[in-house]
Parts: sequence; structure tokens; C-alpha cells
Amino acid sequence: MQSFSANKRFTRLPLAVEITLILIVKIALLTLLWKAFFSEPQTKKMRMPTSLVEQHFLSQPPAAPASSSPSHPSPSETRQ
Amino acid sequence: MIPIDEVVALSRLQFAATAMFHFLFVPLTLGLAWILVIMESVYVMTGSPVYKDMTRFWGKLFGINFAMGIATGITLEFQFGTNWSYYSHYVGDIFGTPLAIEGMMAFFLESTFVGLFFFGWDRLSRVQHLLITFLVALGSSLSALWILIANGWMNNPVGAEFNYETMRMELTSIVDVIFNPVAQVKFVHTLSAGYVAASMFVLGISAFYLLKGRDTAFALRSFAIAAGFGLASTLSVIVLGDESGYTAGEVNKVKMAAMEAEWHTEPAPAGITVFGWPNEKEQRTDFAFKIPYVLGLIGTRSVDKQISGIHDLKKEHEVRIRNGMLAYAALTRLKGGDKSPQAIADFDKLKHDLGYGLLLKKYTPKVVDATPEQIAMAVNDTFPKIAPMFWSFRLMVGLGILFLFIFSCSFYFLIRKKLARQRWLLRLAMYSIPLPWVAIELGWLLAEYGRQPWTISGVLPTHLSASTLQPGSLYFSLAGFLGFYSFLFVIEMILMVKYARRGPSSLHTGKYHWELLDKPSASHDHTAKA
Repeated sequence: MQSFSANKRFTRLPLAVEITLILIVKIALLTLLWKAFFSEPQTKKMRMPTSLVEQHFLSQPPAAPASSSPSHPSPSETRQ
Repeated sequence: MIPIDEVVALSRLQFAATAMFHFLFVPLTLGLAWILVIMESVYVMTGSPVYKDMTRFWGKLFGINFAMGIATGITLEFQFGTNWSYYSHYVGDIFGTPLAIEGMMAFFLESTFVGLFFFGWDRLSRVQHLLITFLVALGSSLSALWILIANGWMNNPVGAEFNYETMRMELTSIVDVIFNPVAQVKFVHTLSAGYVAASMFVLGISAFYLLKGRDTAFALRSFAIAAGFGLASTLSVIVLGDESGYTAGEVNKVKMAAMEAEWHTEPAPAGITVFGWPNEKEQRTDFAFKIPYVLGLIGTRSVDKQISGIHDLKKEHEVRIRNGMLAYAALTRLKGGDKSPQAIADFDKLKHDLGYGLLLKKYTPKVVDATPEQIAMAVNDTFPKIAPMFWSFRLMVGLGILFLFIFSCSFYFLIRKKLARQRWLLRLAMYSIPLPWVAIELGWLLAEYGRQPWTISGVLPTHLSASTLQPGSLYFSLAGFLGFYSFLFVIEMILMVKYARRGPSSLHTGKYHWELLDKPSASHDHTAKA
């Protein structure tokens, strides 16, 4: 019958070391994915310029600055 | 011109693939944490070292899964901002709080306690360590709560109103969002499903040891805890799934009608179709075998309320789409600069149907001038494909019944002390280890595909939620995610199989199978007497 020592497979490293190495690789891969594809999101803090959203939903050109300019936020816009 | 359908389809595929991969890790974390609490509680109460070994060994498998699973959900948040920017903007005011709390729970609370669980055995008293294990379980359940509150809101968007100035949904009541009945039912149903998955995991691996005749005292005790916990959890899943059906009937009639292939509204109480072949072309279910009354009782909790059929719901949707066209016209007027009280009142009266009007954007940029054909196409879009819903639901329920059978038999034969002779049951338990994951993924398919064509039910169509991206970048990021998750999944499998095969010998206590084999003079059955 196969013995305990013969049953050791893949690596002889302790589990804690294996997991630490995997976590390092995982963080590196996640960072790489983020840098490559997701580091420049169209929304910042889950928010887009209102004019862009209006254009997307209503097929209108961007609204005049007076109605939705970030410099004149509505009370609800300032809640974030 | 970017083919928008391709971008939306790729964004959906990417989100679905990452969410489904992520949820391979989650159920085991949710369930195994509570199994560890039970095992360690018995250790604290009895002082029997085998229960400490059980907590440490199953805790090791928990640790592997936790390490593989942690931060795999963060990729979904990457996608919110990049692939689903309009959706993110729409929900930002609602989701900011739950997602921030979930992040705090998952990364700080849970990770801290998991660290203390592994490194605290020699530093904490028995009761203190048990408290830490309990907090690990509580922390993982609470982090699931916040995600499911967010997901429940997408199915039943309560406690929020659309603000035409900011063009997004804004929070009106956090209490309504938290106590959303859909979120609450979803939370307990998902948790129970995780408990079933973890119970089957422990039951199946313990069955493997029993079949091999290894570490039988350890395996029998693990098997007993898994059988009891699994039986209670499976019953919970069934009861809470029934409650989920009731909730779906109230707030998501479309999902209910689709998964039951309920083409026409039947006299109350409606019967449930146990088996049949949904024929979408002819709008009927061929070879249907029905049990009278059951669907009506589940869906309405009454004998006199009807379950709306697909045809009647489509008629309601057509009315809402036509109202949505008027809401769209009123919104256009407001955004054009007319902020008169009359313009605001006109919009407020119709704004709850704005989402239905937006469904027409898929077919025409001039929503207010949509033709009857375009309206008919938008009406048809208000339902997902029936066959995937119908079959996913039946397969999920069938698996649930199988789990009930396995846990009931396991519990029965354990009590009668006849388990060792039931090798068929041990084999069945072992081969059933992956099945709860299949059932859980089917459940998510029902929940998410069943919500189509919406990202936020009745409010925001999926095709308007996606960002304006190049398909090429989506193909590359999709490939990157598939590679990343496949890597994690393979590593998880390698480590799980490796440590499951070693069994409690991996604790290096000198008492278990492989270690005793290395010492030929030692009694093989030493553990059974320990």
C-alpha cells in the first residue's frame, strides 16, 4: 500500500507557504487584469457626467452647462 | 459603427462567467464555516480531541477555499465601472452603501478572524477560539447579506426614485432597501444552499474515507455532523425556495410565468407542470403533466388568486410600454428646459413606466414615434426564453430532492447504526459532491437570466446599461478572466484533492492512517479508540 510520504504530491511545501505563493500570484494577476482592461472606467465613483447619460438615453446632444453642469449640482447630486 | 448587440452580449457573457466562477468558491465558505462551529462546539463541550482534529482538518480545506475565493468577486466591481457604466451611474446612489459594507466585511472582518482561526489554536483558550470560529461564520454570512441586498434590489427596486435632473435612481429609504422582501428571501435561500453544498462536501469526503476503511472514527463523526446539518439545510432550502416562489409571484410575475411556462392565466388555483416540453413557437407546453392547485398555492398562498400567464402579462407590458413612451416624451420635455410645474407633474405621473419606454431604444432612436411593429418587438423582449427557465428550474428542484434523499438516508442509517453496510449510499454521497454547485449555478441562472431584459427590473433595460466599448477589448478581457479563474479553479482542485486524500494525516498528529502506515508497528485502528 502507498505510504503517507509517498502520497505527497505536486509540492513538498507546507500548506501555508503554498497558499501564500498562490495569493501573491493571484494579486499579481488581478493587478495585471485591472491595469490592462479596467483602470480607466467610464464611471468615477459610480457616477458619469449627466450630459453623457442624457445623450445615451434620450439621443440628445449634451445638455447646456446651465442645467447639469457639475459646477451647479442639484441637492441630490451633492449627496455622494 | 459598433454593433451594440455584440458589446452587450459580450459584457453579459463576461459578467455571467465571472459571477459563476466566483460563486464556485462562495457556497463552501458560507456553509463550511458553520460546520466548523458545530464541530468545535462539540470539542469545547466534550473535550474529545477527535473533534478538535475535525475542526482543524476541515478548517484546512476551508482555508484553501477561502484563499482561492477571496477577492474573486472584486472583478465584478471592475466590470461595473468599465463595461456597465450606465448601469453603475443609475444604481450608484443605492449600491454605494451595501457594496462598501460588503467590502469591509469581506476584507477586514472576515480575513482577520480567518487569520486568528488558523494561528490562534495555541494562543487562545478553547472558548475564545470557538468565538473566533463563530465570528468567521457570522462575517461570511453578513458579507453575503449585503451583496444579496444589492441583488434583491435589482429584482425589486424599492426605496428609490428616479431623479430626472441627475438621470439616476436615488435612495429614498435605506430601510426599505435592507428589508426588501426579495432580498431577505434571497439571502436565506442562498445561505441554506451554501450549507447544503458544504454538507455534501463533508459527507462525500467522509464517505470516501469510510469506503476505504480509513480513519473511521474521524470519518463517522464528520459524516454524522454533515448528515444532520445537511438534512436541516436541505429542508430549509426547500421551504425557503417555496417562499422565494411566493415572493417571485408578487414582485416578479414574469419570472414565475417563464419558469412554469404558464402561457395563459388559468382559473385559480393554477396547477403546476411537473413535466412538459415548452413549445415557444406555438406558445404552449406539449406533453404537459400537471398537478392541480400546487402552483396557485405556492405562488399566491391562496386558493382564489390567479397566477398571471405570459399572454396576459404581455398585454400589461404593452400598456406600460405605451405609457413609457409618454414618460419618455415628458422627460425629453423636461430635459429640453421646460421645468414648469405641469411638465414635472406630467413626468411624475408616468415615470414608473419610463423603463418600459426605454425598451424601445433597441429598435428606434425616436421612442415617442415607435411603430406598432417596434412596440410588438419590445413587448416580446419583456420575457426571457422560456425553455432555459423551465428546464433550469426543474433540474434545480430535482437535485434538491436528490439531496433530501441522500441526507435522509444518511441520517436514518446512522441512527440505525447500519451505515457501514450501505456502500451504495457512501458511493452516492461521494459522487454527489459537485451536484450542489450545479443546483446553485442553475439557481443563479434562474435569478439573473430570468430578470432579462432588465438589469434593474422594470427600470433599466440591459441593452442601455452597457458601456460604449470596442468588442475587441471585451474579447481580450473575457479571455483574461477565463484564464485567471481557470487557474484558480485548477489550483483549488489540486489542493483540495491533495489534502482530502491525505485526510486528517495532514494534521501531523501521528494518529491517522498515512502516518500509521509509515510506522508499521502501530495499530491501524488506533484512531478509532482515541
